[in-house]
Amino acid sequence: MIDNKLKDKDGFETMYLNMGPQHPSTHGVLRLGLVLDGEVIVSAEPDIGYLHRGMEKLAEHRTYQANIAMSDRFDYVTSMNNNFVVALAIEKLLGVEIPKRAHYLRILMAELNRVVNHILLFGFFAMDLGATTALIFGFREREEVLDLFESVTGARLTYNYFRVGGVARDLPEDFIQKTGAFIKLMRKRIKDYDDLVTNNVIFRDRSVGIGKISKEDILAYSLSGPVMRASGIKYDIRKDDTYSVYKEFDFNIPTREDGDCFDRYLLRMLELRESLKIIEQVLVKLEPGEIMAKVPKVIKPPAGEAYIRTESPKGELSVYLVSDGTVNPYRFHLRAPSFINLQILQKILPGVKVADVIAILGSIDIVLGEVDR
Amino acid sequence: MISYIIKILKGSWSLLVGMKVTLKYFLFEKAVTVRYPYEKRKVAPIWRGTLRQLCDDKGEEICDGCQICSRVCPVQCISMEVFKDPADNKRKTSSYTVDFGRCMYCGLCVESCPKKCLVHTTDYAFVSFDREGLVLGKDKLVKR
Repeated sequence: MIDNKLKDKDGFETMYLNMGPQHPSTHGVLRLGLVLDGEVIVSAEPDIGYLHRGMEKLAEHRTYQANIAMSDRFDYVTSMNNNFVVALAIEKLLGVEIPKRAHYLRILMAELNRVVNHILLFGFFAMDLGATTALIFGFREREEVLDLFESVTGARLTYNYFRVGGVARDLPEDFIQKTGAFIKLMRKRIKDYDDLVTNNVIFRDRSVGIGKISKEDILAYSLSGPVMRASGIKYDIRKDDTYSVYKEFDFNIPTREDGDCFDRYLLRMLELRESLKIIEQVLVKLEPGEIMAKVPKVIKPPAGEAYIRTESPKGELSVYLVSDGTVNPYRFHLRAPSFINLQILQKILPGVKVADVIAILGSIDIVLGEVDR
Repeated sequence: MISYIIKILKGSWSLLVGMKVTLKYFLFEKAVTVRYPYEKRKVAPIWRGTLRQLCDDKGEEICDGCQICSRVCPVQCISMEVFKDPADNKRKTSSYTVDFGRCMYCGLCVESCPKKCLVHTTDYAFVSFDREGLVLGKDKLVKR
């Protein structure tokens, strides 16, 4: 709780404002305790925990395979990427090699989900700044990908597609052709996005120069993902500490220099194009073959621990998994990028106006399911 | 002052460019939305909806009560009672209930069923007025 007896710089009383947890722009159930001097923020404190489900503790009472199913619920926008990291951690403990086609399918799904995340960010960020049409556009394209996911996994949000040692199902026949069509469509739509939002003068006025995060702050707060790359640090775990078969693909890591809201937005739009490039390459490389490695029916990894880092659309998503040789993990820890990226708010919010809080929060891109777990 | 006017002109122009995009979709493209209760979109054939138990050609249940599905379930929503039928000396279930209020539709039970008799339906609109209505027993689950 913030001391609301704080005085502003002229010695007058300040106002305490609760923003959230039901505020439509806080992307879920985040409460921001703001101390205001007029319209300018004196201090801010994010209050989290409204969506806490104790997922890390629950994981200790679930089997390994069930934990992949549970991981859909961490960051419910990018379920595939959550599946990915948990599956990789379990496979590292077990020491199994998975087939080539399974690798490709995993990357295909993870990148498609990155596209979904960045399209949604486009919609939500523009919505936070008052452009409703962009939100509808974002959801329209997301629907196309969800249809693809539905035809492979049978679900539209909680896919549960990854298995220990591979993936659950092979692609349906027309999947590759449909995905190719989607890439073409998406490239056209990105041009519309630029016309509608990116080049809009009002949008730029609202976002350029707002909520700047310096390189030093990025390192001090250990921010990751697009937020970090928008401030000029070129670091992507897919390239720099590669996992799965990402090293076979040719893609760039876009960076921006200023680290303001507009750069963070634009960086996602650039990443979106890179993801489409990766998906295109996967579709070419896909060859028929096995999709599951041989793993025992009851998964009992030998006692030990594993730490796996992956690049989720929101940042560095890592899992620390300890096994004691039984069917359930002994400890399951998630390094959630949203949770850690959120902490910068206390540092950059003082001094900005209330309307810009929404822009900054939107550009950091948090999902409360992952923040609270 | 001049820069201010130039900005207003640029802003209006960018608005017009944006309007062109929305107008293009409004005038020349079909609506992407569906009027839900009147038109329904088709779900994928592998849709993970509510569960059903299949029967063989004679209308006998295939399930032999091996309990793998209830053990693999992440939320323990499947429960069953098993007995040995003295008539043909086979293991059978006397009750089989699934609590769909808890079910997270992950599909692990269907995947693990050794007899392949547990399947998903393509039903996506399963509702009930109270919690008891979400608990389905053998009378509703077994598809004869």
